[in-house]
Amino acid sequence: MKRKMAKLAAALTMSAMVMGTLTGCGGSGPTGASGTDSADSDTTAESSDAAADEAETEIPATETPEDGTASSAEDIGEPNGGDEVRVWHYFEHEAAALNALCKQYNEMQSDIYIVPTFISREELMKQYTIGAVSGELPDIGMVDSPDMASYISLGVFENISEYLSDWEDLDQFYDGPMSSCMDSEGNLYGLPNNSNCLAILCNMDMLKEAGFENPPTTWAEFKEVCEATSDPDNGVYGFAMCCISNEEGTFQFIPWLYGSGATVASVDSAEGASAFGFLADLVNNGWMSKEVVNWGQGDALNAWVAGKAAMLQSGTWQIANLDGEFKDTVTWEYKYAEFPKSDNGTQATVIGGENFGVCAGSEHVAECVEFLKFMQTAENNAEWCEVAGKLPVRGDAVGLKDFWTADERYKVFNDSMAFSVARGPHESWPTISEALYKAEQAAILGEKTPEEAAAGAAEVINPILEKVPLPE
Amino acid sequence: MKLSMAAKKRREGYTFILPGFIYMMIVLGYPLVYNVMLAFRDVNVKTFKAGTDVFVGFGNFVKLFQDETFLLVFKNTFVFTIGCLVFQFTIGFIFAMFFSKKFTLAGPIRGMILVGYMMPMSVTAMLGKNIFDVSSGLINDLFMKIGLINAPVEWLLNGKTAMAAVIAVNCWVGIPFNMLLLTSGLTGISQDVYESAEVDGANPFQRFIYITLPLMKSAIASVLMLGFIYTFKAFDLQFVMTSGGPLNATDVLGTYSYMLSFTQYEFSLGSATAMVLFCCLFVIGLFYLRMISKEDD
Repeated sequence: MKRKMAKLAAALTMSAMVMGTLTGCGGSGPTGASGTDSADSDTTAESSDAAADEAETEIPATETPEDGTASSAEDIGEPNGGDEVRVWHYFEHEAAALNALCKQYNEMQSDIYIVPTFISREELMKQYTIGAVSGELPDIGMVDSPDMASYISLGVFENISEYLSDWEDLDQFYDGPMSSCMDSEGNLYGLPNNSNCLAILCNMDMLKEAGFENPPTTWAEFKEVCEATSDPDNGVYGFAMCCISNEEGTFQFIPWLYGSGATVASVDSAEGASAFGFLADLVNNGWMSKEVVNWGQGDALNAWVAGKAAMLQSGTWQIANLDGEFKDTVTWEYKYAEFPKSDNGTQATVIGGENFGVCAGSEHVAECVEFLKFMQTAENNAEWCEVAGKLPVRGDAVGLKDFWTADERYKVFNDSMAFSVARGPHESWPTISEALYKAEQAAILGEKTPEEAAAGAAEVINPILEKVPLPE
Repeated sequence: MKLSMAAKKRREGYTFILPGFIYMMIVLGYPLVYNVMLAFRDVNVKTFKAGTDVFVGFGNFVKLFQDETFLLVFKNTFVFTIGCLVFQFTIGFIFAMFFSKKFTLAGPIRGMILVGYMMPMSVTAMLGKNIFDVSSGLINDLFMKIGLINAPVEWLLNGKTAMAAVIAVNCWVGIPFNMLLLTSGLTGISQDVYESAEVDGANPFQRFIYITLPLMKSAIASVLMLGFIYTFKAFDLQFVMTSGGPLNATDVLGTYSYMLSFTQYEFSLGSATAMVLFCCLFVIGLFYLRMISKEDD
């Protein structure tokens, strides 16, 4: 009997050791290598190196997660005597601008000393989830806007409504980004930091060669351009986008879904099916590579930069890549264009962006809110967005610079904001998002007809929305 | 007097075990118990903060086994494990026998084969992703050049070929692992036995069947068991190489559990999936221990 027990215990220990590697909340899982990065996933390797370089004189007191890189005193100013406030973010090429902003704030007051830490997006999301259980959270955390609702629901962020109630500037913020910082009762948990959206980036040399002087404006024209510019035998396609199985895939699918005239709530309508059908057609006709199901947004950009695609579904932040690392590679004329209109005249794009929230358990909530307010003043927001290549989140910031109107490329994005839709906010957005990208992949890979794919997505989404509908 | 000595000895023994026991309880016991508790409640994004989760008994498990995706993932895990075991064991055994022969460069070549085993899995997975790429992958390029295929195979875009690709990459790591363990088993067999068999007129095939295999029995069993456990709990390979795709075709219990917990915030369902994984390995573990104790007897 004893021996049997010992055996049982040994077997239990053995399996526990095996399982511990999976579920032991500490998590030593792989990071960032999967391409499940953010909307900003283009320059991971390069920028991580840059972030690492910044760490020369790391501030020792900072509690930094394993994979994080805290900014050095050189970048953010010497300690000002205030209590240290930790800010976790996944800004890569924007990190220097964030450091400069923190330095400015650290020098102008001495209540708190802001220390930003770079953590890859994938790792950061995991840290929030773990932090919700363990309480190990920073004071301020950055989050991709559609994820915020889930984290609010999980208790990662602190309700800061009372600290902001008398801040007049609040009215200046756009509703879309602002709503992503709220719970269903309208309480505020953070402030939006920046916005971006998607547009169509055209290789005009290829388009002109195929006989098109201008980017397409309708879905029908879009298909014509795709057909004329595709050469599958040589691996050249009319269009490239990201249909990967994560939030990025959903992000890139939304403009087509809403452009068709459907919404997330009516994904199984005829219009919804037509969105799946449109993309499936592109693949079936050889106008878009099937490999898009494994492409992140950075991979799709790489394909376009390599001349393998005439058009690309591209985000605001990628202009910085075109001006930076790809400056010498992109030798052709290119042009950004608004999303084409579908047959029924609907036009849509999707809004992305990041929010900063004060994390639950912070001992400096009031001071953190002050910092967020400083970060998001009209001047700072305008300044920040110009440096980082993003769109402002408040109306009065737009007028301060001509950056968004003078540069034709940014103007396209700025104008597109008029018909851009937000994802959620909804606490079950990750589940809704999964249903959407899986349906999109099934249609593209030919596993399901567009109608079946749309119905499959609705099967998951509709019951969720019946309980808690999406905001109007 | 004698008895108290024995008692003293026993106490001494417990004292030595204590640090290890405490360590195991904290590092393994706590997460395990916590995981079991989660698996029997309904903790998710809605109930987590409010603390409104309730005990649902086997509800999560019922839900899982009624879910088509989970059943696919469950099947995938076995297909992946058995597929890997068959190839890596067979090839590993052949390599082990081959390299146990003394020939020039046997050592260095065997060392080179081990490189695959020493590489971090995420690196191997990245290599696999590139090698099996449709348009710029090495495999397609090679197969086209030698005329094996006319058009590129969509390795990672088709469920069946994606699973084959993942198995192939895992075998690259598994073969040296099997070879290493089986080589040590082979070196344990005395050359005298083979020599006397040869004198008795046994041909190489007979020597393999009647001498090598029986004498290697325990080594083979260990290799297969350990191989099963290591392969069954796979995570990083699928996570990096295919993200479980296309359409969950290469998802295994490990990646699915992670996805449920960390991207869907369905903590209880994620834990229940991990429990299923745990139970499968628990059974294998019992089997393994029984086999070992039988040998001891």
